[in-house]
Amino acid sequence: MSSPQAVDSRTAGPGIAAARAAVAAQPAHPRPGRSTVRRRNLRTGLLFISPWIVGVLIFIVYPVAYSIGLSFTRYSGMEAPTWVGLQNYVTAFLDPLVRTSVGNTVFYAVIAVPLGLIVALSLALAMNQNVREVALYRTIFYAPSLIPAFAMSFIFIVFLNPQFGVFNQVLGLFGGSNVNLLGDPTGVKIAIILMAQLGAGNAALIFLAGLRNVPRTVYEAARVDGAGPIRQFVSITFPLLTPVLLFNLITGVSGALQVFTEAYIVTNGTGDPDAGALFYMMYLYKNAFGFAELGYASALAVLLFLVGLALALLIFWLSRRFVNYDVEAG
Amino acid sequence: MSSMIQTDAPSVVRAKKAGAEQYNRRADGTPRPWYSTAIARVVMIALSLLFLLPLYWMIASALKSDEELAQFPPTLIPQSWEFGNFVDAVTAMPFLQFFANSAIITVSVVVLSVLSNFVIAYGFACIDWPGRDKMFYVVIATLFLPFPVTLIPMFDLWARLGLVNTLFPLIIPAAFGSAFYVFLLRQFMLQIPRAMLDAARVDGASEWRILWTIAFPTSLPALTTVAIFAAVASWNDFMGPLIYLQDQDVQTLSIGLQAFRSVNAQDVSFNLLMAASFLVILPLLVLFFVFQRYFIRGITIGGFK
Amino acid sequence: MISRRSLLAGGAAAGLGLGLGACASYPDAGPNVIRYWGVGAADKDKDEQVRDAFLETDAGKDAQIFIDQVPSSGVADMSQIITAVRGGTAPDLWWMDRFNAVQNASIGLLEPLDDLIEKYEDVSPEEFKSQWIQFAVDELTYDGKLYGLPCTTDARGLMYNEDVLRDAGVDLDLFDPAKHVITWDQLGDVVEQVVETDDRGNYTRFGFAPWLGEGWPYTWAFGLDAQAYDNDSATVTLDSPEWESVFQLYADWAERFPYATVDAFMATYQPPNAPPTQTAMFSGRLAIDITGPWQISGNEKYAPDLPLKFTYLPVAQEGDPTYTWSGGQCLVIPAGANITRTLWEFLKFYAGFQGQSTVVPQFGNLPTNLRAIEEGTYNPKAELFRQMLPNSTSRPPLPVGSAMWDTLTRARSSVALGSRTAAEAVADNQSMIAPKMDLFEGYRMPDTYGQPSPVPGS
Repeated sequence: MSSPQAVDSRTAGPGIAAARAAVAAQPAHPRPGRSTVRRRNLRTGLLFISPWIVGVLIFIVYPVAYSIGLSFTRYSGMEAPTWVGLQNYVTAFLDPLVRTSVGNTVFYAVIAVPLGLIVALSLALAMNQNVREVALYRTIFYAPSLIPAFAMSFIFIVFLNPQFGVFNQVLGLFGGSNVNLLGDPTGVKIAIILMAQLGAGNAALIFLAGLRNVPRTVYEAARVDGAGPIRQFVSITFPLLTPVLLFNLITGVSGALQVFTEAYIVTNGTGDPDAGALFYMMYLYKNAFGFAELGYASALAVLLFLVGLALALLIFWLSRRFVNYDVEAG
Repeated sequence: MSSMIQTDAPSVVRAKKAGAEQYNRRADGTPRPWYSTAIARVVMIALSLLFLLPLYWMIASALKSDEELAQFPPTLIPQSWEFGNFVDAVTAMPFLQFFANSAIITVSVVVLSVLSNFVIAYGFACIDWPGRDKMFYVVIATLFLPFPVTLIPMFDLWARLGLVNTLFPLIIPAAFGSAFYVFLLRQFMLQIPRAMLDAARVDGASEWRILWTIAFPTSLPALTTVAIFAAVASWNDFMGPLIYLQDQDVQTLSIGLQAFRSVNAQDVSFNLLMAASFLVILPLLVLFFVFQRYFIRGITIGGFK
Repeated sequence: MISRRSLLAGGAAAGLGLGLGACASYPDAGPNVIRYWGVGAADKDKDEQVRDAFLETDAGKDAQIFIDQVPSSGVADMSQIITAVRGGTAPDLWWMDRFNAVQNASIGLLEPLDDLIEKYEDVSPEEFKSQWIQFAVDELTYDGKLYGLPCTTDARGLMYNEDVLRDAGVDLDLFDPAKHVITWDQLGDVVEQVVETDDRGNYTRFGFAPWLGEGWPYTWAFGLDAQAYDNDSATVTLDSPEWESVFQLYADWAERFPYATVDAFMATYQPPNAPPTQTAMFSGRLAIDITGPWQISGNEKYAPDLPLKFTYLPVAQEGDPTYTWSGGQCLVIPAGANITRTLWEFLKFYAGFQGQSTVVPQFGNLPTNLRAIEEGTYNPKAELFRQMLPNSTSRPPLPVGSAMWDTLTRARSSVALGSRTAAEAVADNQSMIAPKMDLFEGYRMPDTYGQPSPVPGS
């Protein structure tokens, strides 16, 4: 059964009709093939990802090896490095600023990542509304993500003004008093978290692409079964969004662990008040290019990399339980 | 029961035939009660006001005169509309030259990113080969590489190749894929039914053909997303141009924005800075508005069930 | 629909555009070619004026000077210059802040100038260096060698609004620099008089706080005789009792005028990154600030009708000598530059009388060239700051300057906030910096550092 508008004539062929008829019976995961097929697939697969492999060797393996090597040295960036063994790592564990910056980064990540996901998903749902002027809304919601960090910081600071800023006006509506977020070590983290939410357009676009990927027939079938909009969301939309949810989660964690630019600009590179906005990446950068301690910075980078990696692998491994790739398997 | 091809619900078909709009419908095709649409609109408008704030403030500040900037508390609506600020902003730097450089870099990066990441993600998603998923962990790992440690070794590399002070260091890496985009595309391409791909293989199509005839149409929303992200990231990139572009003929708009900072901190022309920033993001706004409709197009053609 | 064809067409077009526009040409090195990273895009006209004047001279008539304005992402961010020097793409001449000179020299980023002086000049290096004010030369000296020529400088003082003070009933003679130098105690009393609060306890008018404006720990340290480094014992002395008194100053003031309230006041009337027109002084809310001669042009431009005057920094006891510190810019030669006679002549020209007399009046700060100071080639309104120069000094020329500044500034905010006591803060500063200086065993700052700098006509 086919209607001309939907079939892509380039894929028409006898095999397809047969396969489609048997679609429901097929398992979603790959079948093991015979060894020649496997070998051929291996070759093709590697061929397809070859640009990435080359890129990894040049742009990843080389700098990583370089910094791992540097992490065992004391190096200014200019003259010859001097070997210091594990001293950088020992210093990192003893350095009170490392402890502060880790604390700041964890605080940020624990709040910003879940909040970011919720905001992005809500925004995506808003961008997906079937109203005529939706193109306008989409552009508006995405617009703040386009503003370069340098200009955004100027603007956002105005919003945080204790007396006239929008933030405090809204707070006043709820009975709060004037708050000076940027003057308080905890407040400045909250300010940066809020600023990041305005940039939720990026993650929202990804959720939107995921939302659009769900075929309408699934919803129609559900409606026939008597499910209302909320039930449809819970049982259909959300489970089918899990692939992009995983993506946004992992990239969200990666971004949160590496938060840097906004904090750097808003605090003029200091991380003050009282190191409240001194995030791990900022401390790393300062050591590398402010204090000419590239060896120490490399050690900090290696540590960050290992922690982030462990976290990602954990999330990824857990995701096998809840991520649903094939639409039909639901 | 699931129909095999994406067809519209009978009510929608009737509506289309009648020439009526297909808007204000739920995901399952049922028409939406008016109050539900109204509430949705109210929420959207409220959210729009919030998200419009930064842009509004940027434009309002750009239109203010120097005297009005001094006013305290700051005025909400500019009293005098100094469109001359935009002219001043453009003449304060070699705007056209910077624009051209930014454009060359961005267009090249977008094309290269979309093509390379698409091919790579296909290899990770649609072909089954031993060790594929283990290799993918490496992709994830590279997301966590802190950028400062790459600055010096990469610069050394480009300097040795004699390509510093050219646009190449900012463009060439895009040809080799990026973990972010590969991961994104893979998540989408894993949802292409295996059976469809296998059927095409049985029909004798090569992987390359399958890539373009099956994977490409269905991945259009994801590819559009990659294109948008790559464009924005490249256009607004500051760190890369800062380090690699020293001569004025090759510098980009993001560097040009720095023209409004002076040794004498008194001379930050806030209104000019905002005017310049607005002009810098204007092309992105326009492009986004034009290209975001491909999210819709993608689903109409790409439905496969 | 984006077809494959249009994608590939786009790719081809991009490739073409790439080929055409991708490269900038580096000028070939030659005996008369100079590549120079200038003051900044907003001030490039000043660079061009000096260049044009140089091209008119005998020494400069064949020179080809290529000026690039390369922005930096921050004063303490060396990522650009390090990568450039490493990659061999650094300029031959670079305008930078003096503060980082010693640190940059210590890691091999800069070329020493002593050999060039001996080669190209008839006089001894000492005599050559004596053309500039001593503290600026000291700030550019690492391990006994000179690494740049000073250009501009400044000083720090108090700026006060006569109207606000008069309205609060304060005796203006306390502030008149010709009559009196105010003490800390007197200043505290003045602030009490000026302060006005609203019903919620927010300040609507405020006097002064030592952590505002240019109130860095160094600013007060020089007045309280706190030394960062002791030449004789070659040790870092950031935990001395004098340093503790510097931070105690912050702590005591923060107790008397709560830091949070002051901070809310400043955040309201002078938010960070605000346009230069929006300051608490210009809106008549703040009575006294700590600033320097660069402020003068802003005053004239944005608040010409306000009676804003300058005076000396507060002293501990009545009759104590005045003090201040100066920062500023300089010209250096990055390592690996194409060093030619023409380069040397241009450097000498720009940093010498001719260059300084051209640019300094436009920048609104002060020259370091002694002849320029003597001949008054600076904004006459900055005269008070020029008077401060002989008794001024620079920040300590140590190879850990950046880290030191960083930790002192952080200590200031935590002491003022109350999260650390002054004693804890100085102990932390010491433990952060002393290990870094261990690498430079036996390091000596110039002997003339910290002494008054003779200025003719003072």
